[in-house]
Amino acid sequence: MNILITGGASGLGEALARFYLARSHRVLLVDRDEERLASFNQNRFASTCVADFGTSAGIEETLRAAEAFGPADIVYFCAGISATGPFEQLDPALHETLINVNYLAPVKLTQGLVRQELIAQSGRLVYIGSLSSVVGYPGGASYSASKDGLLSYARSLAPALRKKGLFCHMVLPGPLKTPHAARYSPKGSSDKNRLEPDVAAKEIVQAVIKNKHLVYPGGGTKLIAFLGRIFPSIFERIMRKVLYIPLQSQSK
Amino acid sequence: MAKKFPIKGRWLITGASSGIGAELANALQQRGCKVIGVGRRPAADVNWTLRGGDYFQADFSNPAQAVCDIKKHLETQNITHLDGVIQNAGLGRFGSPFDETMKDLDDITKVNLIAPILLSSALFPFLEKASGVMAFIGSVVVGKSAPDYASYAASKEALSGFSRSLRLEWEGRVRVIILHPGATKTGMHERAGFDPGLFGAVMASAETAAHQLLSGVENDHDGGRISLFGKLSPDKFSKAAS
Repeated sequence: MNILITGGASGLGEALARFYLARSHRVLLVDRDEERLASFNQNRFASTCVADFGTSAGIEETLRAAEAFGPADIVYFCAGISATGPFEQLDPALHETLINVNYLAPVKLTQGLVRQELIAQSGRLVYIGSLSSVVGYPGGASYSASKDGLLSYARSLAPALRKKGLFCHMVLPGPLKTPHAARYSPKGSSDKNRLEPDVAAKEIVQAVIKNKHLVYPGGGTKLIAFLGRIFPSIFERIMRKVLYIPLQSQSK
Repeated sequence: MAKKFPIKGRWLITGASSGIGAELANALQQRGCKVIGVGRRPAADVNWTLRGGDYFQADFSNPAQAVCDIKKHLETQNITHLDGVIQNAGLGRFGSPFDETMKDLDDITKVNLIAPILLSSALFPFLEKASGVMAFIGSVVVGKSAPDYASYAASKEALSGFSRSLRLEWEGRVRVIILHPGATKTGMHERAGFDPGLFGAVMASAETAAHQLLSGVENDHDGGRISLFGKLSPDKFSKAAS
């Protein structure tokens, strides 16, 4: 198969890339981290593309690389950034970039890939959202916005894609053991409850094969997703205590 | 019983030149509030009477610039406190997601999502000083599949996620609320390329919507939805993603 992965150089994207490469599938990895991408150069199944979705050129570069790569059977939109801390103290410039990278880039890329017929027949588009759509994210308000936007867009896109014989999936992970989580979580917070990205990756691959539209990798995530819908206020309180309060005290 | 937060003092409304925004301005003035209206159109085209109020032009399709203009305007007026802000400016587009231009997508996202995020950041100090309220206008499409207006629905659902997280952050300092109007008789549908046809007869008038929205703000019906015939139902149940 041909697989396209944005954010393929680290975290969940990297775990997915390595999963497919180990099984001799061709993978196009798109990432802004040129150095980390270079580690894939020796792999004959890997193609790489350096692109920053915070810039308008990022989408065009990715589409060009996708054209050279050939139609993708599965596209994983993993590229994402965050901005955490007390909202009113965050640099306002971060928010527009965040919305561009986390929400507009996957949407524009989707539109471009579909219009230019760069997705193979019966192809799948997999969007990485967040459990924050269930429990909220005080301390990560604009991140929360971007993921809810993506969740909504994927939901609305599904019927239009089906008419073209294509499918989409929405993954809502909880915290993963990745550099992203380490970068944006409160300082000193433990990673013991974070899911290993390759465990998440395997679950996601299976869920895509089984045609599940909504995917919650990890037993803990599934439980929170279930309980969080029944008792949203309880989980909002927990998120406020566990995420926002430490971020707030660390920012003083 | 829900606590009441009486609406008074100085309020800022975005998208104030027409539609729901103009009616919100009228309704607030009827309650004796001072209104600062911000809109895309020049003042000469705005048709609500300003009773001690103020209207100026700012275009959210360049969000950072518009927010800067708003801050500057408040500063030149020596305004330091705002009792309430209603972020109502919004743009729609009707059609297939695959026919959408990059510009349409960018405009909808900038006006409906990025501008409210940036404006929230900029206006926090004004609201904090008055222990005021930040109100967002969402849409009943939040949480639903909207194949004919995917980017509009996504921008509103994103705004809803933002509001939810911000409400938890600013608790005790600034009240944050989002209210979801249903289809309302305004120029938005026409601008979005949608003809409501017979459905237009059951759409709520902008005036009804505005009064229901203010009632929702007063009673803190966070997530409340304005249904057909203009009734506001408080969202007592899960707001979580479906």
